[in-house]
Amino acid sequence: MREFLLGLRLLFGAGRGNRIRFFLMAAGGSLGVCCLALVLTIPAILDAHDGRAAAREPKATSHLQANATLVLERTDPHGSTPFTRVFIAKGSKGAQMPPPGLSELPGPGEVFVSPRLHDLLRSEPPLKGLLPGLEKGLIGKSGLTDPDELYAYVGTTRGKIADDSDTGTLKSFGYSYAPTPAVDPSTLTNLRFALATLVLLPLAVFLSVCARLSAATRNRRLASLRLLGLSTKGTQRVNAAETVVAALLGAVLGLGEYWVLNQVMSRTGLPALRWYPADGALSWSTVAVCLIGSPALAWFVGRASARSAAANPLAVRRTAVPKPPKVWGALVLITGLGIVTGFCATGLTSHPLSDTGPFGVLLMAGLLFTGVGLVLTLPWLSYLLARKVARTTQSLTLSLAMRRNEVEPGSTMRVVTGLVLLVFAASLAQGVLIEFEEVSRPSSPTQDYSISLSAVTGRQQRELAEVPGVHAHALTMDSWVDPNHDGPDFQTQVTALVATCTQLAEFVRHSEGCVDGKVLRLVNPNSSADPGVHVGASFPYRFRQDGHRRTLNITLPSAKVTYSAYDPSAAGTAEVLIPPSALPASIRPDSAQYILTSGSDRHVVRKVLDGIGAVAPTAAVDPIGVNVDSLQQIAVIETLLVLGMIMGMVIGVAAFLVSVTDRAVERRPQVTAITLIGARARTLRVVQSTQVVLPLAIGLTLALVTGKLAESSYLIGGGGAIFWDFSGIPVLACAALGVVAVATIGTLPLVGRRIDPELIRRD
Amino acid sequence: MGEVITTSEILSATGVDLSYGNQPAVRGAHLSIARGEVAAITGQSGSGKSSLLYCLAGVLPATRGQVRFEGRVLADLDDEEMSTLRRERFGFVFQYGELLPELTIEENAALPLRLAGQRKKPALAAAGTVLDRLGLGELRERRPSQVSGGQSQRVAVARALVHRPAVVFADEPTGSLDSANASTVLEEFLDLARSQGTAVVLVTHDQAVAAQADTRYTMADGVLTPRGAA
Repeated sequence: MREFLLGLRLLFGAGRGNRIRFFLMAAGGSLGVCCLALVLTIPAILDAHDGRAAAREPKATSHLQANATLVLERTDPHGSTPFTRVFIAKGSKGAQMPPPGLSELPGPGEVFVSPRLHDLLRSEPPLKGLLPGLEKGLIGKSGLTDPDELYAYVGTTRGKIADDSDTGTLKSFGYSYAPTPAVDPSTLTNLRFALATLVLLPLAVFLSVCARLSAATRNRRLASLRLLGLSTKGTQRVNAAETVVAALLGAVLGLGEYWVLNQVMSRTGLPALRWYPADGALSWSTVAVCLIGSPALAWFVGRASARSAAANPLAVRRTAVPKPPKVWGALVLITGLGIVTGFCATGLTSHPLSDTGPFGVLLMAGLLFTGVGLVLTLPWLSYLLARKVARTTQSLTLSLAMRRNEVEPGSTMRVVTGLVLLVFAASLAQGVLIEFEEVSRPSSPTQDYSISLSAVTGRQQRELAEVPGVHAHALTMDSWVDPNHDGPDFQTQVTALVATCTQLAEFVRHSEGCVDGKVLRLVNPNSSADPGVHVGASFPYRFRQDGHRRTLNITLPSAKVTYSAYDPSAAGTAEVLIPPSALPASIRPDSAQYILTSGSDRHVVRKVLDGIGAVAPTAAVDPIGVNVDSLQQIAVIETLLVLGMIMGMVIGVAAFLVSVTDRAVERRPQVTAITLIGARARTLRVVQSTQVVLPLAIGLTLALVTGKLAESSYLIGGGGAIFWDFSGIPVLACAALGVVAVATIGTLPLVGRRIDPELIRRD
Repeated sequence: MGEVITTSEILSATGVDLSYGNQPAVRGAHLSIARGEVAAITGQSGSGKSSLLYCLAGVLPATRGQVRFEGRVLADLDDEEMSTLRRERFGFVFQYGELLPELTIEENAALPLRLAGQRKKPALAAAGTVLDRLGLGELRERRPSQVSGGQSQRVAVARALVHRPAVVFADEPTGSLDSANASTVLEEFLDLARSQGTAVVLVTHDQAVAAQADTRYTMADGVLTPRGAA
């Protein structure tokens, strides 16, 4: 305790420079704690989202009881956002308890909407067509997953929904799990791992950087205390007192920063992810982790960093040459790389390893060892390189820079590790994204959309064809069958595709034999043919024209187009191709779908769905084979990974800036001396840049190689179709080059023009 | 004591004032130093002697008055010209040596030559010659932390003289040493400087050190007073 108080006395009695350093430590720590709080709170935000979704889920039985309250739930895409309507027909029996967010069940003709839907109804009045009735109020927060959700409770009568096969008898509201979680539980584990790698590894480095600021000056001061008679442990405790107080202040500030961040971000939102401020509120466990974990880490780092001053104070006072870094760090890297490379090797065979069971633990250990080993090996590599270059180079600047790195490889490591880890983690994040994409990626390179023709006007049809991303449009229509037919023969229904040859080519994988202007049979050799569909058979198609019903009989010709369809496809079931010119103008088929096609990249799909929503907000769109909820989930995952990347980048860059500035400040006496004996400012700048950029470049190259191996082993373990992500290399290489460029520029201002002789006249 | 090669004026100060904000450090200093002359400025701590030294070296700009080196007014030189002057014509010895801890002894001593553009091998050879003269030949491969304080200060002397500057500015060059070591180091320093014809401006609070100089000045409350030749 005595030493702790002495540490505090030294801290608060120190000069301005020391106080600035203390507050820099606290500010750096606060940034780290803020990021840590955000990472720890993300699961709580997702849980709150899922908890409210579960609590409002109607519990219903399919048996429709007389006079009981009935419920029917419909979820359609509004653009790329799910739009849920819950129709409730109040009965005299059964459930009367309202769902969360409502004070009562809606009566017939009463509509309760979410605030976002309320706003949308003002900007898109046609949406009211989907919500029969009058808006009676808004759904409260407890009944919505997030502030942007499109959700409505529509009161109706039994007669209007009883016939729907999805209608059930309402028992109550609330399940123990959400029907569609914000992030699927199976992917949540991967997401947590990715976030931990992206944020927590650089964070640990950053916090230790902050705890070791001005290490040389402090070590000299501690060595003086040790020489004055303070015990070894006491010396370590004096140092730890300062780091602990800085970390504690940083933790408090960081929690405050997080509180502000939560208030701002919950109001502005992130792409695809919104939450209420209360969802992101700090839990007691998060507060405890931050307030105890950060100072505890600082205590250990503070004690460890004072070890040399306590053990050998004379050497520290005389600025003894530090010992070369230990090689054992490389063993951790070799172990990690051994595991990771082993997984990669199996990827080249026909029996790739899977990350199930013990192999999963082995893979995680391999990835962790590789990341940690990378950090521990960098000083050793930097030392070896610096020693070799310094001895052989003729260049003074290179010699000065490398000599510095030779005697201070640990300091070099602190400067560059954050950025190196960022590139390593970014590589892993690419793997996680690829795995998510594989799960969600449709097998087809195209994505079709089907809209009931009756739901859109002619003008909307033309506008839909112009939606950015849409490659082609066409019409499918079913031949008419008599609903009253009860004869023994089966009535065949034939789907016709109304399209030109060019349009057809956009909807199918391959077509052969198409001639424009002619009715042609469509033959898909990969699907079984209906015996009723043969050359010469005739099928009626019904239309309305100028208020009159008309029928067009199409006889299947012998001329045919052979095609193979994508799976799934809106045009895959068509058996006859009708050229648009064969249909009279201004006719509307009775049973037809307006179909569109675009690329299947999910960003394109989201864009097209948003475009369709803007043109025809009330039309029901069927994105063939796509689950809008899944699309939403993937968007959330992407947002969280990008958030993790941004946090990792902020931490990595902050660690770099803080340590490079600290190193420059520590070097001021030497730099002043060398300036006084005639070194040019540009020489010193080149030295300053070289001693940072060279080890950084080596670290980044190593991070790229090990990161890609780690990514591949992750993909192989995941069992997906893609093992080797060569397409991600240019992105990472460019990012690494950008990091080097920024680091080079960032170090230049650290050498000033002004010479202050006072710097070399003080100890 | 070595031979003085020339007596023509090399460095002069005329009515030099230097203030830190409203606090005057040097008041109306007049001084003239000839080639190869050793001048000592003595005074108590805080008297302004180090401020005057750095003012004479062109590091701190005079608030009023002029400092001339070889007839050129230092205030008229730009940053590049001042760097060249410091690199080629000036040498510095600091109280704590201020050797670069990462360089070997011979690399530290050779630094001015390397900064002036000389190649590594001849620069190290020239530094080796000076180190040999100072009795440090055996230590050239060591680092500053591996030698004693006196040896370290001799290396600083070697660094200040290796490029045969016109003038060396020494700020308490023996201030961190015990009296025996201080005497030896100073003797070797001044011998070497005199043999090269290098002028020395020496700031010290030690009268015994000042007694070794050709000319002595006293500084009190920023005012410089000549005390005649030693």
